[in-house]
Amino acid sequence: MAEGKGIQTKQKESLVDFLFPISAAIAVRSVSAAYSDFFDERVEFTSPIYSFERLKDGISMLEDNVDPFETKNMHFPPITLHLFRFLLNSARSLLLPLWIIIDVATALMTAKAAETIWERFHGEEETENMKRLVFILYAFNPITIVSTGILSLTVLQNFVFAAIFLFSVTDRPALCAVLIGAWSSFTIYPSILISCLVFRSNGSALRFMSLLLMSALSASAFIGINFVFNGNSLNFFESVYMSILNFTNIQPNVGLYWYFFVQIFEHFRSFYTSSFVILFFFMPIPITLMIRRDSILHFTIISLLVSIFFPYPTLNQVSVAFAILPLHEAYKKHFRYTILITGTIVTTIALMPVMWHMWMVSSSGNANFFFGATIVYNIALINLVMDMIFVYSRQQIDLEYKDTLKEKTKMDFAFY
Amino acid sequence: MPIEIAKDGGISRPKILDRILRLRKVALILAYVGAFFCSQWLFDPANMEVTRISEHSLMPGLVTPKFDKSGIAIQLYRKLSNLPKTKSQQQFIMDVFSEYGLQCYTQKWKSTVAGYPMKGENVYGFVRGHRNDGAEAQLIVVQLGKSEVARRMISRMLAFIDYARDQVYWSRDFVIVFVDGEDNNATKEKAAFALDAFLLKYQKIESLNAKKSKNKIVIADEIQSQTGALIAGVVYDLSGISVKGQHIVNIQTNGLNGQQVNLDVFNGVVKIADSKHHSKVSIFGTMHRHTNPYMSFSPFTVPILAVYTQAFVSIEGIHSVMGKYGVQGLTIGLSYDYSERQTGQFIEEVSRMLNNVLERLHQSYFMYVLSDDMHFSSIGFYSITLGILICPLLISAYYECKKRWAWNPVFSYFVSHFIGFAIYFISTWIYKNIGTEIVLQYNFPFVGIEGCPGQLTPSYDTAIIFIIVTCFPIGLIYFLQNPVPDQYVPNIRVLCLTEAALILSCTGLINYGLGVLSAGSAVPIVILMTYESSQRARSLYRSGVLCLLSPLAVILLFAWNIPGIFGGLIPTKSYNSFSEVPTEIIHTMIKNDVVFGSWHFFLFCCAAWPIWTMLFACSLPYDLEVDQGDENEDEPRPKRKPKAVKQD
Repeated sequence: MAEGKGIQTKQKESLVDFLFPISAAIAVRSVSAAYSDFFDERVEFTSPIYSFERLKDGISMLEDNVDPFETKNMHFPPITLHLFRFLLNSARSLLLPLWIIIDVATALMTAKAAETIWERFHGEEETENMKRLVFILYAFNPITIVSTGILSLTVLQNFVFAAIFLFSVTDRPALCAVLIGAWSSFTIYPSILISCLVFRSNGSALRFMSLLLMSALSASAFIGINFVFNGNSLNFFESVYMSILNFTNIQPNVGLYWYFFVQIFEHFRSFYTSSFVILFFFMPIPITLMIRRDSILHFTIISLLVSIFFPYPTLNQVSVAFAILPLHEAYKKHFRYTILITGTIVTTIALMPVMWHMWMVSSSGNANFFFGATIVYNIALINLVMDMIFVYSRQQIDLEYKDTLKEKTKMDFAFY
Repeated sequence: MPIEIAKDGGISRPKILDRILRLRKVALILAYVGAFFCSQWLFDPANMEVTRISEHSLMPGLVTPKFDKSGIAIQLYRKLSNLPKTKSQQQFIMDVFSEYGLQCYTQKWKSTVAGYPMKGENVYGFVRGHRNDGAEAQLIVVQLGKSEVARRMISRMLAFIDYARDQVYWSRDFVIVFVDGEDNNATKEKAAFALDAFLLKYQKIESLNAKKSKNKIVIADEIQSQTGALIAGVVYDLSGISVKGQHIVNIQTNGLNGQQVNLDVFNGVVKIADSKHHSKVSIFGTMHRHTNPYMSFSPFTVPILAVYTQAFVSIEGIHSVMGKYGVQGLTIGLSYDYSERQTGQFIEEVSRMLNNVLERLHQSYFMYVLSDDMHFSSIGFYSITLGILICPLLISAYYECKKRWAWNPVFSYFVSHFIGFAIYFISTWIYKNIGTEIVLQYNFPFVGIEGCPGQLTPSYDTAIIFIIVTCFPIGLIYFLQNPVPDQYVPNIRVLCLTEAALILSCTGLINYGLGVLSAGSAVPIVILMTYESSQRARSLYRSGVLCLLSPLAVILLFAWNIPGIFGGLIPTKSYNSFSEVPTEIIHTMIKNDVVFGSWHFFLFCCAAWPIWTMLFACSLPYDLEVDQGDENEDEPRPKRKPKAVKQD
């Protein structure tokens, strides 16, 4: 009983401690909404899959009894269109508060997950500091603030990612499987997160298969709901899913592919499309086979891969992954390119609007300028992933050969 | 080197970086000296690129002109001079267009900005090109006015329109706009605003996004008729002069926020002036050395003026707003002594050139610094100077990064930026909705002493309040009372250095003048304030100096000491009183931000002021343990003892 009281007091104190940062996070998000006119036109924050303006276009079509999927550029599943149609018609003014609550809840969930991980091996004060750090990194990241202000759907994606992460570290794999399946029914790519459940299967293939099945059932259920909402028609498949797998809606974004598919000859298209898709869905296999002893690192790598190789990404997609980076402090001394990667990411994010201005507004640049910034940004993210794989291997060497290694033993590695 | 980066799991650094870091103490001096000599070499016309004809449209411009409506121009001038009081210039122009059988409309506009209460009426008409498919058009702009110069220009333009409508070779329509505004320099901004109102409606910017209408700064009539996309625009006036029979054409090229007209358009106009009219060209109001036989100029006069004008003069001429709408615009100040025939022929030649210009002018020629009418430096060369200036910031940032310090997000850094943004937001909101003066009334109801609302209560100039708020060293007070923990100081240093470097380089990419001139003053301040200090006296001294070096004070320092160069920004009479110059600077910045969309005020509030405030967190601490650890590391390594040579 006394222990229970102690836990209650701790929770209350924790919430009070977070009261000021939470209020500040809500305030800055409200202010950013005042500039939504400016930001919702920025390609860094919106893409055809996550743009709320596009969603409103689709809802307008529904209102006018026009099939939104006839246009081929409506990438929202019917359930999203109908849900937001209901919200827009019944509580339009509550949308921004809802988005703010979801985003702050994402920050809190990420912080809670960090606390759960940290308290296993660290003291109370260190755990509290880590929790606060992770919260601040997400809640006061300018990219998450702006994305909330423009009602970007990436906010919902981050919420689901954070929930999957939290359920994963608190050992609720069934809920993780359901969420991964559900979210995969919207944008397909998060389905590779299913590989994270290997760590929650306790080495049992049967258990993993059952989690896979749950995930598949969840995805099927959502597709079924979409089918019903769409008047028992499957014509949304091409616009919603095939456009992601075929890279059909080529518009400038912060991703890797748009420029590539603008440049290539049409008869090579199917080859490259297949290659990229196979590469993406194949990647989790070697990574999971390699990183078998650290589920947090594995989750971070996979969530980064989902963002890097998604055809229509925005800057906000990596926000959860960035927020949980401090959790890898054990590997800190082995990271090789911390300054290089941080500097590159910050510089390219600053340069993207500049290059866009030079290309589109002042006409003093061309598409290469903007693409240059985005590809370097993605290379930095890929470097981060590779460095994470390296630090894991490096630590495994330390653990494996700790008896033979001396203090001054030096190991030379090739560039990668 | 790549193997070295990866050596021992990344713990050891490549030697080249260590060598660069050893130069840190002299990096600032080296950068300044390097940037100085580099610019001296780059901006010497002897080393600059020569303008070349890359547009096939120049030749049609050089074909013998045929304009022969001088008599009509003179008649129109007389009619315009003797207009009855009941008839406006707008009505007169409408009548002339009607006589010609051309479409012509008026557009009334009104500013919604409380601090910039302007209204007026534009007249615009169209000359349809016989060979045009309606896809493209060229813009011609003339300012209305009652002075003799303005009347002459209007009548000559109307005569040219009479000539142009008879020609069959036009493959682009003409959009001719007579913008409202007085006819002196002080009110060219009004004319620019009038052109902005026209282009806003012509380009259908508002209808693209209906949400923007709530933030609009102008209410204007819709455009009655439309033609194709505007590929280029020319503003004509008679601001050129003639010295001993030598005509001098005045050309202005700078747009808003560092935008410039395509070099091909400029080059074409210069070639027409030179080869067809034997006229010299003055750029930024200055003759360059090889065309000016009357006095000797430094070869760097024009580049310096080019950089300064690009940096600080938001509205150089009426054409400056065209860049906002993707229209290549420049102002041609024809010689006042040009005859009607010569003026008409000049306009004809420039129009022929634009009639044949390529669909999209090549992007290589938008970023340049002119040294005279035939030499320029392109971005690939002039950006070297900016890179050299920014280097010390990057070196120092890397040096701080390699220290063993605790990383933590500093909340005050975030708050300072938020306050900076709040200052920006409140100032622009007041200017837009209340005006330049505000009344502070705290008794309810808000009425004056005699019952008149606000009449007898003292009013305050918003600029004065802004100056007090932004010059008050809030950072010094805050960080004296709440010093940053020692282990986090390098953290703030890295943030300040990186942010300064990023903002300066990004600004320099878009607006080279602003980037390089800001770097010239900001880099030493940031470097010296983020440098380690081992003594309390030194820290206090430099913090005191930092108090005086607020961003506004730095601008003022230059404005007071180089009034000639800042003449475009501040009227000379302002120098009569102490407070007038900063007030004028602030008013101009806010006005240009709200009315025209200039970035100066935003950068001032949201970048310069927060960095200045956070620099106190770096300048105050001294004798830090985290610095000492690294100081020792920086010391030169003891030389190896020479191996003993065995002697037989």
